[in-house]
Amino acid sequence: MPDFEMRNICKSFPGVKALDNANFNADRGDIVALLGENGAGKSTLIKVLCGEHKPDSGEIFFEGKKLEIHSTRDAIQQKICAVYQELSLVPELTIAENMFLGFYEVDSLRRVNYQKLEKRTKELFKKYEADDLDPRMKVKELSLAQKQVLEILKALNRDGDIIVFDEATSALSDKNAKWLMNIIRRLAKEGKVIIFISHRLDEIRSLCSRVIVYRAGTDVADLKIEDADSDQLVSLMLGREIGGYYPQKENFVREEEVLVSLKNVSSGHTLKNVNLNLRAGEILGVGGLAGQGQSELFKCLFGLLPYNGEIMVKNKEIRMNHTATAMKQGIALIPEERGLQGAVLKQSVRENIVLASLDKICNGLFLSKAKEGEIVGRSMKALSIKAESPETLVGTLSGGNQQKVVLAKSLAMEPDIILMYDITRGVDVGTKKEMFNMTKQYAKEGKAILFYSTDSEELVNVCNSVVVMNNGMIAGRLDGEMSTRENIIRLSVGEEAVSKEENDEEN
Amino acid sequence: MKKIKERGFWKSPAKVSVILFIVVELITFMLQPNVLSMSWISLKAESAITLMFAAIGETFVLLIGGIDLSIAGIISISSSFAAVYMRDNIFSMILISLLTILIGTIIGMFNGFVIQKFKVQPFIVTFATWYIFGGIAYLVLPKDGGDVPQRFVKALTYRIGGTFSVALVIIIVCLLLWLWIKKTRIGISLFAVGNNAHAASLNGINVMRTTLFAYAASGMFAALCGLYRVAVTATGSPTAGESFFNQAISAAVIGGTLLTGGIGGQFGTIIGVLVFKAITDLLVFAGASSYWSTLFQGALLVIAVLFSTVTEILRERKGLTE
Repeated sequence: MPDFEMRNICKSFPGVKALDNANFNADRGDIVALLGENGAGKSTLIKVLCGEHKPDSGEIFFEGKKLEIHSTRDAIQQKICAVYQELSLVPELTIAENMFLGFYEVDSLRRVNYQKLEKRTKELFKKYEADDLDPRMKVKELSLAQKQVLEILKALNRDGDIIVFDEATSALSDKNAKWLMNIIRRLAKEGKVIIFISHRLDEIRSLCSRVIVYRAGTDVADLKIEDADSDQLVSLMLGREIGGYYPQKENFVREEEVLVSLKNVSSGHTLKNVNLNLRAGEILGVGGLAGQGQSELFKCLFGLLPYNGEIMVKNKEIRMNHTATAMKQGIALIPEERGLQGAVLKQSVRENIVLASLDKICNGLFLSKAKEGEIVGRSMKALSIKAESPETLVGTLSGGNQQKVVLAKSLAMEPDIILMYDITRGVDVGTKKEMFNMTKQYAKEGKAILFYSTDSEELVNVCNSVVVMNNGMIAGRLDGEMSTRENIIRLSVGEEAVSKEENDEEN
Repeated sequence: MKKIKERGFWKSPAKVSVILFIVVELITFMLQPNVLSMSWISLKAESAITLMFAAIGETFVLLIGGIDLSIAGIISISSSFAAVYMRDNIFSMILISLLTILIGTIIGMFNGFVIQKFKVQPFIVTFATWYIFGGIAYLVLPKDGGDVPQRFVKALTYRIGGTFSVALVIIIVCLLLWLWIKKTRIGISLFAVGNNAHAASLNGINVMRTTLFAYAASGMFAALCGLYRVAVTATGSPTAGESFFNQAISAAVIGGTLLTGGIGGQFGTIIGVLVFKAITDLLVFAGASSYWSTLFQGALLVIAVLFSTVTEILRERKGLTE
């Protein structure tokens, strides 16, 4: 019998059977990957384990003992902790307060001992060799990548026996991802049970010993990592064979038609003298380590950040001081952190999709239901948004489908210039594939696409060219053959890019 | 160096109210140079204490992102109840006071329970309880009056050593109590739940208990407000609470507590109440009619809210371009 086992877990929500006799097992020291499409039941399984959802039936065992988990607190006290994809940090509290949230040590007056808290936070940073941050800083002042690191440290701080990593690497830079992988290996050596959820097969391959595949609310395969090849895993997840992961690369760039041109654009210390041309039909990748000015570049282009310098759209200088200005110029932004920036979770799919293009669907003063229905129907079909009806609340959809709604919203505006900011973060392979196909389709229609991703493989396979940012500047532009993962990394760390022949010579 | 400044006063949500307070008091002292004395401060504390109780209670609920309209009903019923049933002996005075506080706390807990358990909007739940208990107050005491024992009035308006009012002591105690609570588990839970309830619950914080605590505190302080009002005015009133609800929220907001929850605190609220009262006094001194004071209180609220949002926006901009 394995050390840790979840047996015959069932969980239904109104209208959906999220888990249907689902099983999971792992031994101490194992790193087990949990793989599946969005909506396959992974998140629900984790939520059941962590006490957020009460299962309809099923049992959880650890070392032969049945676990009774009635609340999130129960789970944490029974040494089950999780690194959540959507982050479980409280922005207004300090780093130290967040690290020990819910489990503070108190003195004889029942006051939380801040000195001890801050000291132990510092020790925690040291123990796991993380960047040293001031424990008294508020979490809202940190970048997304820093928050993700904190989320990880917070879970480690709970000293769990069973640790879940839910898409924990998705917002991390390559460096931090490596850091996390080393920690995970260390934890496994200490005899912890590790459940690792990721959409990156290469990560799973380098880290995990076993992989359990979920589909439609139940486990469909349990493989040793050596026995599982990528195509097989993908088809197990989808339940059908899929062709190449990335669409065939084609060049639709219209050389003469420059849609966006940046001249010496700077913003504070984060963006320095950026010069960039984006042409019609071009998919231009933006790469580099996390936090090198990519997000600021996108914000400037969408009127979210004050800047110096010139931004030309269709050969006209435009001062982007408001998002409405950018949208008027036909620029659409598809953001990261969909819950915060892109989707109104408490509104329906229909309302979300037409949110940004209300003027397009109005007849005079009133909304045209027919036009609205047409746009919504078309978008839902084009992106295969899985929702019961257009009236379903976006908050109840799975992550991938929420992201699709955000996409649909941006595309309903029929923009000429699409800014895609890490749109595939935390999205399953099936959805990713659809997104890449769609990106290509838009390029074919002559739209200009600026595509940022933390995954250099995506950049290489999706984009015509890639610019790499380093320390707020553009470190280099990689065209055609030069656009390789190696070169992206070289430029990110301040090296020169090398062509294929040179590279071969070096070896 | 810069970090220290960022962390201190300028980052505190109470800064607007503190600045306003200093400005208003300076004007007061310029107009009435010899007014400042211990007995003057005691008097001010006495006139502020009822609103302060109401605002402190409301602040607990605002911190977790809720709102409590029922304090109006609770103040009314405690005022009527105490005025009608209190007899002129020590035992009765203590018993009725405790009972009043208990009733307020229980109504508050009921609010919190319904809101959290059935996920009903706090506005609706507390709106209903306001009307229910406001109505019961009329049944207990149909019109202003009641028989308030003189000794009760004397006890709560007593001057320790001839100048130091009981109200001032209570205010100081409330402040100390807050400085303590802020550092306890439940104190931090209030902020965590108000700021991001889902994250708080993922970390094992008991959201139900935190909500119950906030609404119970609100009910308890509302009852204290009603009780003290009986002493200060030496009469009970079934409509005592009506004027308190909007003033309590205004004072809390001027003090830097956000209606969206997670930011603020009692220090700001107490200063907010003092600003509120000081401006009214200033207008009375200037001979303006009481209608003007309502107008000024409204304007003050707008200014305070604008000031805090503008500084927040500026800070964010600065953070982005740095």
